[in-house]
Amino acid sequence: MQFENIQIDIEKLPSVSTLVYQKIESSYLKVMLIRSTIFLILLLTSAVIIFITKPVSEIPSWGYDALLIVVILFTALRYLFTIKGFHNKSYALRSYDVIFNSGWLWKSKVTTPFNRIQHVSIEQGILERNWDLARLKLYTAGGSSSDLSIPGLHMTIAQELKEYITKKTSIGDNEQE
Amino acid sequence: MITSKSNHIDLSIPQRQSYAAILIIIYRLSKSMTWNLIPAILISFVGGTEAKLGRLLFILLGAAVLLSIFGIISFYKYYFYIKDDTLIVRKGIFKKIILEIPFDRIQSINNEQNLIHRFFSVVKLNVDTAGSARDEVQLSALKTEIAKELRQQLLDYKSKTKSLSKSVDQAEVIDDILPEKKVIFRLSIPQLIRVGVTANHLSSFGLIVLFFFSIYDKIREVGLDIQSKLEEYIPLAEAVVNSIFMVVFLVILFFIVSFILSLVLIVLRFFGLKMYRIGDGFIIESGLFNRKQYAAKDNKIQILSWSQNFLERISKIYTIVIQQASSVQTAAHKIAIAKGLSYENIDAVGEYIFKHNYIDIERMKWYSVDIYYLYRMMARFTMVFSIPIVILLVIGMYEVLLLVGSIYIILLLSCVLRYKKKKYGISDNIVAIRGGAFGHQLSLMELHKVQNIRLSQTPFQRRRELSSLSIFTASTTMKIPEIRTEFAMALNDYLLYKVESGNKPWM
Repeated sequence: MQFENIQIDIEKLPSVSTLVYQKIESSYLKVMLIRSTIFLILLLTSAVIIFITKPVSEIPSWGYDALLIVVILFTALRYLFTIKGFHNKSYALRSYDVIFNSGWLWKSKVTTPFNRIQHVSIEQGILERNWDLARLKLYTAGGSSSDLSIPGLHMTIAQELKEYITKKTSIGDNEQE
Repeated sequence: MITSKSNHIDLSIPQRQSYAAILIIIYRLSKSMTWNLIPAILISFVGGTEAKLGRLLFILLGAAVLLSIFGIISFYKYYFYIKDDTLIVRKGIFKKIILEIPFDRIQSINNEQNLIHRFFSVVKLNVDTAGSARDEVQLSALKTEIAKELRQQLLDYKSKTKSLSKSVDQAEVIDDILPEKKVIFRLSIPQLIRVGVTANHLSSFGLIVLFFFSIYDKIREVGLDIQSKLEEYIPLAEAVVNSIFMVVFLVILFFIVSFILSLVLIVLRFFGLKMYRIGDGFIIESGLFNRKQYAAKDNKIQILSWSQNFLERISKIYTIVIQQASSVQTAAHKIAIAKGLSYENIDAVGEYIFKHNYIDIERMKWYSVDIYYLYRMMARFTMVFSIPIVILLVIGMYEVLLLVGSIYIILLLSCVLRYKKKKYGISDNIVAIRGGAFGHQLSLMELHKVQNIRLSQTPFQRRRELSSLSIFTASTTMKIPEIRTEFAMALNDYLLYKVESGNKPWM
């Protein structure tokens, strides 16, 4: 093996900050909103039931008021975060990696190099099927907390991406799906 | 050296384990049972009548007989053999279970020998696969020759297929049969005592508290009214608390007990600690009654770190932690710890793992994190402490307030130290993070071990143009907190460049 140690010009490295990111499908916002709504309806109804019946008499009535206010506030915030967060979900593909942005106040940018991907899969929930959307999941050995997952892709695009990435990772021959 | 080829051991015939396995199975079962019986035994001693005691004995006897029968049957129903390069285990008393483990999927084989094992000269074999914990196999007692033969067959298979397989799933077996064993480090008895003395005594303090709570819980579960029993002692307790002398005495006693406990725990775990180099991997073995062997091959090692707590710093010894790639379920097996090493020992290990890249440590450029890191830590503690402090002020418990207040101030001080020591370094091949408050800590990772990278920013960071960088590896995550966004981006790009331009495998 030949030993090499070339100096690298840090300034000229390709940067993730200057990329043009692709937004995910706008219909995915509907999926997210419906999902939030189902969850929040359950939460709100149980809060209202508790508010009306006041099951534990030891708790003063302002305690129940506070509970209701907190739940309503939580609902409003949840919607705000869903909508704002949605507009920040975007991805980009480069020749050697995939980048996914998410978050509104708490932002994050995850980059997964192709040569670290072990497995690629496409998932589709019941709600997503309605708009022909899918979620692309990229698994690495970095553990479940670091697996990259891009939601809100058109099924055809998701499949194309999967094919492209699988080819790039050269794990295609082991891949069964 | 003569290889053990000429042995008359045929592993293709289904066979049972060594008879010692019966004892070991019973021992294991009774150990778990004893722990659950502790409250019952305690009760019978504290408040039991003779009739109760007799009944308890009867139950215990019955349980012992049942356990023995269970142990013997499960021993006779347990077979293992090798067929077509697959390890097959047949077992189960009521339900027949057949486990088939192809050699391909075996990641490593680890030996374990506790006191019983050594008495019968058998070993316990843990067969570690890449999959879930469910299909991992433990052969609780094998004759040493059989264990060796099994390892040898696996080793032969691995070296036979090595040229064929595509390196990704290559499992490793580091074996005693391999030549050139080179001892890096051996812990002598005086050194062991030193390690025990410098252990983290605070954690054993916590352990004692935890122990009392769990005992208390178990007794309550059984239904003994501990409250009324304790109330009998209240006058005595008041007398004790009122005398300063007694309080001081109790505190000192508690410290001594936790000191002795951590000393004992260290001796049990690190007795006869030996770390040696074999082939292209390490073996660490230690333990007094329960001797454990831990194997780590160079290419599977992801992160090397060493640390010193306050006491270790004074006596100039180090603790070393080697982290290997692992699936989540078996993460606990994949971290090897050795204590009491000198700096020269660490250097030796570092040179073995990082080879010519190890020199990077001296060339490394070190950077500090932003002062916001300090503010953030302080703000967190303040948030936690403000409520109890206010409450104590209002109800006027000034003695307790003094105690809580001083803990708070010590924690703030430790934040300052933590901030000052937090440094990260980057070189051509290695990324390093320094840390610690009253001690030191350093973690090293080769750049090509990066799996993926997350750049994140909280709203508080955004105002100051800061970001945090999380570097995920196949073992744990390295986190660089609070650095300038611009710099975080550059680091992100640099790490990606390193991972993507080189084709060094991470395992």
